[in-house]
Amino acid sequence: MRTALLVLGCVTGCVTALHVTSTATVTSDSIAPDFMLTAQDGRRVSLASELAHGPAVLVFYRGSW
Amino acid sequence: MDSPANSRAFAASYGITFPLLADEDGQVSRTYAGVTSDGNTLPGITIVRGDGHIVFRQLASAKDDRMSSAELVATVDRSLGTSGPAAVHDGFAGLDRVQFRVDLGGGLSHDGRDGGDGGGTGATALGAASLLLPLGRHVLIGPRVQWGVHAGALAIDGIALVREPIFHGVGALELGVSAGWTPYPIPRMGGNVGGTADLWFAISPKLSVQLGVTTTVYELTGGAVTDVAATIGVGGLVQVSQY
Repeated sequence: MRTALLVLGCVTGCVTALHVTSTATVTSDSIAPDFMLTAQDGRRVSLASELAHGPAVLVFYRGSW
Repeated sequence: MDSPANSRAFAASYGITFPLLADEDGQVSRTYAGVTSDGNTLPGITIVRGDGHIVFRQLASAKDDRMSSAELVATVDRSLGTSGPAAVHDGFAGLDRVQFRVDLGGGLSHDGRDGGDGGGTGATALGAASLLLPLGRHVLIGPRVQWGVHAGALAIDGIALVREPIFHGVGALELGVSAGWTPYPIPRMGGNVGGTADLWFAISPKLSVQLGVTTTVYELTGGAVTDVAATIGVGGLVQVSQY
């Protein structure tokens, strides 16, 4: 088993003053909703396929700050 | 949001090998983190346990809220019960790997028959080779072939080990049972059973050493030859699943 690190989100773009317009629907201790997204190598990656190998760390990222 | 092509260039420039996923329509971001007034993802961390439960969430609505790498590693350890990158990568991977072991040992062999050929007790040596498949952290099973010199007997067995990881998963205490058949030589032919206790260490992600004691009883139905030996061995560790 290994811990997978997945990074999602925005690499470029910078805004200094942020207002949250939409808040997350998941909460701690709930089951993480599955998703499937395209990785940098074109591979389709689902959360379920990563969890089959062990825990996963999702890093939601925006680039410039 | 970035396209996979942008992610590819970014990953190449930073040497990133883990999946860098493009959430182009923002749906996953809205579900897990939230979206800010500029339409971008609200930065944050979500740690998901292997069984799918979310065990940690953090959102960074300001620059200073972001975690450093060291803080993230510590948070992963605290949330998942691991102990640093070594435990996650080498230690746990070691426990997760298929093992091909070769063990050599020396000890005593006791022939339970009265008189006849080979009655009594004498020194013996043994050699064994086993292929062990992990069933989670705590169980190993597989075939083993063993030769007992004093008994002059081959044992072809199945072996099952239960283990308790130690030293953050780079070692284990193991207890095992074996059972099988001795096809050669003819006078020793019959069922055999045995037990082992081992101290196992993964000295690298690909190599282990193990020290143990083992006992094997040959000829279960014909007088019982019992071997008891101390063993030392090496193991090759092979990773069979990887994302």
